[in-house]
Amino acid sequence: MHKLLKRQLKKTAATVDEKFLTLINQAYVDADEDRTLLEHSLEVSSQEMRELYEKLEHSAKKQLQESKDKYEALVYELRNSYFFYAYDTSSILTYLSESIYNILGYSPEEGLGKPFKVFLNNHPMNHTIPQLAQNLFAGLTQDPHHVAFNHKDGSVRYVEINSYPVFDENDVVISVEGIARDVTIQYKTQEKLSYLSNHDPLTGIANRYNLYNKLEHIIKDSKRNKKHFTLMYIDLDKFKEVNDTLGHDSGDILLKQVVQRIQKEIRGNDVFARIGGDEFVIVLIDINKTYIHSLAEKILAVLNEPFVILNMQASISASIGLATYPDNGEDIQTLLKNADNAMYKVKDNGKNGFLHS
Amino acid sequence: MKLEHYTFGDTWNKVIDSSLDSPQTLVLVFGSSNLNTVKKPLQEIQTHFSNSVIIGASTSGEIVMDELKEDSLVVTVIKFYTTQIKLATHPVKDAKDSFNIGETLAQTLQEESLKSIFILSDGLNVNGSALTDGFNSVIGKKSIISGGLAGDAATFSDTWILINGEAKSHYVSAVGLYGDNVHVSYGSKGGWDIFGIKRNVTKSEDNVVYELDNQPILDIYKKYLGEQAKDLPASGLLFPLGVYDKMDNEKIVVRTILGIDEETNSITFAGNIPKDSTVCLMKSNNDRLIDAAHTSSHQLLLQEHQTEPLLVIAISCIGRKLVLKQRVEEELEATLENLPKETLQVGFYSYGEISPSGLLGCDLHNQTMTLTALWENDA
Repeated sequence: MHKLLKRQLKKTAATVDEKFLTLINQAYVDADEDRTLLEHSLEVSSQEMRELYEKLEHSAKKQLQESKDKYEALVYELRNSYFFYAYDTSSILTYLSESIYNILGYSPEEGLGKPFKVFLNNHPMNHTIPQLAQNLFAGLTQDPHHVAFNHKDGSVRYVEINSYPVFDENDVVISVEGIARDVTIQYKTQEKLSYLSNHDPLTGIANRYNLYNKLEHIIKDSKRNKKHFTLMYIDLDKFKEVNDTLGHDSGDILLKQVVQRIQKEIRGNDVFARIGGDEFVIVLIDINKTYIHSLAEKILAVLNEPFVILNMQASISASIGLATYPDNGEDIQTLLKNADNAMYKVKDNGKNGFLHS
Repeated sequence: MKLEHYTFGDTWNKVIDSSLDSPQTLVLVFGSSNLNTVKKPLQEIQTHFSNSVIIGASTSGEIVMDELKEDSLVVTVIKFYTTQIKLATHPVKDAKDSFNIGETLAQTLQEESLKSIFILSDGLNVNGSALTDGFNSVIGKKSIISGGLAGDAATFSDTWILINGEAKSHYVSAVGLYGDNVHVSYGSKGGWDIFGIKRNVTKSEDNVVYELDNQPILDIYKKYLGEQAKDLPASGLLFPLGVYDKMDNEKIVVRTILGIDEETNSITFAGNIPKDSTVCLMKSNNDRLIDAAHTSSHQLLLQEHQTEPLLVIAISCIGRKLVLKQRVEEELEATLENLPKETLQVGFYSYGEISPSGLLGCDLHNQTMTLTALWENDA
């Protein structure tokens, strides 16, 4: 019998029907069982909720720390990559953010009150800046553009600037504000990639791709201005023998020396390209035949001089074919083909010479 | 229609009157799962009502008016004036066939004048939600489908369905009522509260759940039940599982335990619980369970009922009985409070309740008080 019921019966000395007593006793027992189960299940549930809370708290803290780290990294990135500026309609700087120091090495005080152009480098890309400034003063927004700045240490910094005009209440432009982003690394990477795609990695002179691009422009220009130019196609004689006897490394050294010798004979702005293993092309613009022939002879002569490669001597010669625009062709393929044919005729006639097609 | 009811305890409560026996008579029998108790009275019913359609099921407690009977046989005789009756039964070899069985039975009963179907099914070897899906696939919302899954006290060992007068397990029976004069209405309400944290079903197959949040579900139940874990699967009814509707997070379907498997650490529920469902444990509050029973009788649409004899079939879940204990009859009183005085309320405690729900037709319910009201226009 349930303890409480037993006590109650004892205290009251009641006489109760046996069946009724059984039901009451069962109700007491049931109530105890229900309460025990409820308390137990609430404890289990509370424990699960505590565990879940701790798990969520841990995960929330972790997420908070991660976003804080990202935020700090972003602020660091902003401080080292961006500065803000403003200049008036006379292009005099009226505001520079502190972060200009991280990018150009100057404090804001060193620039304020001075013309915007004080920091500009004389890089060709800056030639459009006066026009851009005029557009901004006229109230026109401008797409972001690249500008070359001088760093205080003398180096050049490439910056993407995004400027916009500021208007007064009468819609008159009173100043220009903007944000500048340091893109020096990206710019230099791009420049390097551009150089690699246009130059022969061994000798540093133009490659075939570069030659074709330049020839396209030269042909257009020559057509427009009724000028002429000559392709000088140079193929080394006996180069294969050097390669076979002294090795490929020696062959590479020889090619570099060949380029150096030829470069001494031509003008700095003449297009000089390596288009194959031992094949070179020089583009000579607006030069008469006599000079070209004497240049060909000079080149043959300097290449006839012995080469010293890794303490060993090597002798080579060259066969040169010439083709002149427009007499020997009006497009790249025809001109190159005719110069190549002339060069082969020289080879057939004993090499070490030149021929104009 | 004419109504009569009898109760067999040690003897019949009154002399059985065979005058209501006819092809338009439906006899409902709800009785003890103990065949020794019910074998003889079942034979007597069969003899007295040889021309009638007799359906029946074992229970986890029989209901007559506001009283709960144990180890008895409760017989209700309904003689219709014009309503036609058709019986269909089907054996169950495998719970996986449940959908097809529902579909076949519905096809057998489907007719233009079909008003309602009342289902009594084996309580342990049928997937209840698949069975109702099968019925819905044929009938949809055209007719009211209600009923329940048989019980067996709370032993979860063997239930029976009456087939040609014989108590047999592994069967589903369904009776169709036809004609314009018969009226059927329904109500169903649970009243359980969600309890503790939401969990994700990480491993399940049909109505067998293996893991919640990657933990064996049986371990979770044992942890919650404490000392009462030794009484599983019955004690598992104290914490039914609430399954959140994927489309409507406010809607929860309650699923009750039918069995456990210690080897696979799994629990079998009365209806499907798909993987990736969100679920939570549920707990009871006696007053809310009784209020819910009261509400279920409120849901019955009785506006058209006048003075005709009214039968209300109350099918309540075994889980409610285990929780309410000696107060269980309060929910029977609660349903009667809303009903006309002369209403005859019979029914049983079951392993699953069936009644219309939502947009698709009928559904399997668990842990509810589910009522089916039935009357016929006077001749």
